[in-house]
Amino acid sequence: MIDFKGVHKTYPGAEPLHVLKGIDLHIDEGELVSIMGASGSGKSTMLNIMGILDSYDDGEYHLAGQLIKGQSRMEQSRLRNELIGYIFQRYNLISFKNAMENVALPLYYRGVNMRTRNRMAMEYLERVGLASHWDHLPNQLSGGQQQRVAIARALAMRPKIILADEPTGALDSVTTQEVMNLLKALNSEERLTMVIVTHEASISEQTHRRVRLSDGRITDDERL
Amino acid sequence: MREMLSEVFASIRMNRQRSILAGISTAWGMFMLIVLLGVGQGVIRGIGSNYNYMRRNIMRIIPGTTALPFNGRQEGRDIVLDSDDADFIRAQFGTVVSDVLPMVGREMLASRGKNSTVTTMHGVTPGYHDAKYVRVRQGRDINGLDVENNRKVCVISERMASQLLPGESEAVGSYIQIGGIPFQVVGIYRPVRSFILVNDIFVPLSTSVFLWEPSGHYDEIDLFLEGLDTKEKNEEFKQLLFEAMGAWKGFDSADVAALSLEENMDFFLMITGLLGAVSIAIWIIGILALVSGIVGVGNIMFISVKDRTFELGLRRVMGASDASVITLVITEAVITMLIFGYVGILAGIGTMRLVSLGTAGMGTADYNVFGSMDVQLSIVLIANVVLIAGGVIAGLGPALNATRMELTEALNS
Repeated sequence: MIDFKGVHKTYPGAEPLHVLKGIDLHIDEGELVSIMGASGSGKSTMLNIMGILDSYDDGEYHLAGQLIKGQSRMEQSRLRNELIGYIFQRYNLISFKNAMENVALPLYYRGVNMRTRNRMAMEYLERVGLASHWDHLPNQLSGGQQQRVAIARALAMRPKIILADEPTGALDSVTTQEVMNLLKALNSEERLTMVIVTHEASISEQTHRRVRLSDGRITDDERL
Repeated sequence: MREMLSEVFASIRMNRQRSILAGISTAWGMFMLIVLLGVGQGVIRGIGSNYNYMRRNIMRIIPGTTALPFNGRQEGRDIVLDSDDADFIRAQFGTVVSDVLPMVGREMLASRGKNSTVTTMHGVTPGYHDAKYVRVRQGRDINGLDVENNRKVCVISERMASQLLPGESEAVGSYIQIGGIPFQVVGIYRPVRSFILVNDIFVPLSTSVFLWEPSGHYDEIDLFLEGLDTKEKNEEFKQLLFEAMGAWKGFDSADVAALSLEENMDFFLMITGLLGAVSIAIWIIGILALVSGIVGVGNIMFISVKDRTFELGLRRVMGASDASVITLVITEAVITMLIFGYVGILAGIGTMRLVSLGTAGMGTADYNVFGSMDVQLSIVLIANVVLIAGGVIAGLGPALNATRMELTEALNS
């Protein structure tokens, strides 16, 4: 599903920053993988490249069998919309849209009409246990609830993979576990490929495979 | 399209502050434009209307006496002008002279019953009112049929009407005697300036010639000149006129005493220059108002789009194409500015109506300060389009930026 071959990434600047120094990584469909590393190790950059949010310089990246390189911006938008669901540390909900509208947003960009996308959004809110809060604005929801809305939004795209960048970074231990349980359930029940970037050992221990990153290189790749 | 509009309206509704700020600056821009243009035009039309009667370039030819010998004839000959001379000038200078108005004038006694007054009788042809600066306020003016049929009709001043026909309800239609001959009053005029031609009578030229000037000699020929917009052209025309008339009438073309010319060229140039300068000033005021509006709207648009960098980035992550992001921003801006722009237009028009009411009584009967303050709707609409285009252009930069920005950067903003 995800295939990195010798991927390099350098951020240009006065002092160019060589962030990824030849990453080789293969992730199969349905895997639940965590990526760990100190800050600055390149784990977020790697996740951004996986999510077609960022480009890479050398090597090859195949997503669902397709080489991700040189696509037009239009084509990139389409690939993101069709293949990938994103979950961010800071939830990244649109503040002036209620829970249902936030979940429905990616469906709007897929051209689904309003009635259908609102019905689908309600189904996914149901799935994360927040159907009763559909008309709440993000600031009327707790952190854990907001992250569950964000997960529902990621699911609404019916993605092939879910990419989560520190999904529990801003949550307390109880809600962290709720969110992790939800993500694990989605992985096992829907066979969703899932990549979670984290620096918490307690999170990575709940995944099936742990990849450690240090200074732009993979230092460890173990099955749990 | 409907989907996008509902997305746009949701965004406007949910971002009240941003929308209202952008809207207010649009409304304010349109409001100021209308008020400034309106007041400016009002002043120009008002002040300008006081000099409208001077807007035509007039030259009066008054016959004189030769001061130089010519072709063996001695100086001191009287030059006379008659209808042949009027025809000659028409034929010779048709391109420059738009109208030739021969006149006779004479002091006479006008009376009705026991009331009488000394007056100046002018024999005139239609069109004379522009040369003499009078306006008929009641009844009608001297017309072509009056001249053709030697009618004994007259147009008298308001003061004469009150002196000769005091207390008569219908002055127009009644008869007065001029030099003992009955004339019907067909019109009553008011001089454009209250201090000239206050006690005069106008009658058809043919009638006055028939009754009082059987020689057919005119006292004056007035010319309306077109296209002489500089002193040089005016001097050149005078030179040509003297050469042609000298050859035709038999006097030295350098003999300035043969014909005396009265001109209003200096004043004419001053007035046209003044009115031209003021209308340029109006345009400058309007353009400045528009520019300040564009700056205000552009500023708000610039800030509000920059403010949305994160939201627009997130939309892109959710699969929005560049085009759909830009369309969203621009449509939102245009709709906001259209709605508020018309609010500003209505407020501006309303204000100008009130100002017009307040200034209606200003000035005197002789001197206007404010004219109509209505601003042409077409100018307002063009200005509104320009204003909105300004806002769109101001918003386009940051919107394009938002789509070009790395997504990771946009999400961190």
